[in-house]
Amino acid sequence: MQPVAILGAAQTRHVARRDDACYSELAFEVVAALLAETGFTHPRIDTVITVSSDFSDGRTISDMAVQDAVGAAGKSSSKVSMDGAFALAYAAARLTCGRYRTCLVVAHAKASEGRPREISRAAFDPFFERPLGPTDHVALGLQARRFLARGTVTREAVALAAARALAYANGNPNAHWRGALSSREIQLGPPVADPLHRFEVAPDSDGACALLLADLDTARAHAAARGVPVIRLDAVACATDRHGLGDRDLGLPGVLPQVARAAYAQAGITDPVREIDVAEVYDASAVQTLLWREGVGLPVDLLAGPAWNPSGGALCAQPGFATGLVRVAEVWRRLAAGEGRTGLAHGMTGFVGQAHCVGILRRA
Amino acid sequence: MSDLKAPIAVRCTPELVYNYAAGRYGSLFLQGLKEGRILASRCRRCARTLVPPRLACTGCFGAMEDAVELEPRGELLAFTLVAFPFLDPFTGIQRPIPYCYGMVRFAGADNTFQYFLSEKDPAKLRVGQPVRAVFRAAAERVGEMADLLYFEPGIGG
Repeated sequence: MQPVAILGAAQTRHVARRDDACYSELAFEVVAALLAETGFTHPRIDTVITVSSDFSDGRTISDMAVQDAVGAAGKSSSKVSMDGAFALAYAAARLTCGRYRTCLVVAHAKASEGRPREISRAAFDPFFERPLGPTDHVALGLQARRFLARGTVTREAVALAAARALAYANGNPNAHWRGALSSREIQLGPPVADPLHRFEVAPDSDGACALLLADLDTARAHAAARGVPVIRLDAVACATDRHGLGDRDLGLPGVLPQVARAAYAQAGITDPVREIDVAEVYDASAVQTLLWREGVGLPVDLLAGPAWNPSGGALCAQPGFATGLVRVAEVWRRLAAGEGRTGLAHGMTGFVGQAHCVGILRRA
Repeated sequence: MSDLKAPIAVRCTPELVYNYAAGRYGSLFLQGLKEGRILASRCRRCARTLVPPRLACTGCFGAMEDAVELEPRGELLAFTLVAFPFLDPFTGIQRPIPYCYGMVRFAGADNTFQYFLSEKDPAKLRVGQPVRAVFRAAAERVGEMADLLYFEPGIGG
């Protein structure tokens, strides 16, 4: 892939409910912040990818309702109706084809407006699964059982991962959940998806995120003019697994290892433990905080290798399909601030990680 | 596989309920209706006036910062007949059909506003005719779309 770069990232605060803004206004908010941060204006945006879910928004062809708010009218625009991290692949393809120099990616979600469990239930097979009452949370519970049954980590380690995420989120002004709870307190908390308790399952958040990508020439000129580093997107890889929960071993990281290997090969990474400085993954549960480490080829010990979800991860803010794009924004922000040279950002779509996407960002 | 004689289908009715935030601009418009006023947003940069009011200007993509009140009358630019039954999303009951709805250009607005018309026979309507907004009685207005009853033929535009 021809290298492209990420020029800037913006996100809202992620909260339980934003009554002051309808969802297109959330999208406007992050685009305005991104343009202010990068000094770009709408005429310099060549193409736009928006990320949204018709079911979540309750709007058929939900992307059309945010076109005005993101400034896409009159431009070539398209949509990703998957986790926002997958929009990186789309944006990179648009830039490397050579027709566009800049690409705006915008994801929004208002979990508070729909009913996330009901919406997730509607994604299950109507004959054999839906009558059983499955939701995204139920799938997380099944996955947790499978993962714990492998015996690679203890129940305690899962609760510790959740406690650690809350503690990290204390330093993240955009986090939905923060706190200082012990692993024991978490295990004594209200059950959400047996065996997982509150804070071991990601919250439902309202929020939005936007990124500005550009070809390398544009990025270099921008960096030189503003005295900021060039943050390249050196790899994007994604793959989809089998759909049915019964057709995968939920206790294993699925297609994530192959996706990570492909991304490492593109970026020339041979030793991820040493070469990656910061990683942000979409962990819908504290089991996934640990399981996706295995997926990207890192040891289960959370202290080994890169900073692991230093924002608190999805466990502390989960604004729907914007969640994976927030991972990219967090990695970008840390590299831009000089907290390391190489970062990994991960997103996923489908129950308990049916599809995975990994991007590798590098400060030039 | 052995021969299938009777393919089977299941009826599935997922319940979809949404609790939409009107946001600051939408809330402003609904509060205006309660006062019997039609409010629009105005762009300081390109002077565009849009109704209902919204944050993003459709002309220059800037934030619309000013609210302006429009005269509750305008010109009917398009109309059609709704004859397909549906459940009113605000009341949950079927809205009586058929009826006409149309697109009204308020004086001073740069876009058109869609709403019910009092006239039920499209043969009696014409593009370009003046119409005026009719509100519920002041004591009955609560700050919702239904505070605006319909547009009826009027004078001026």
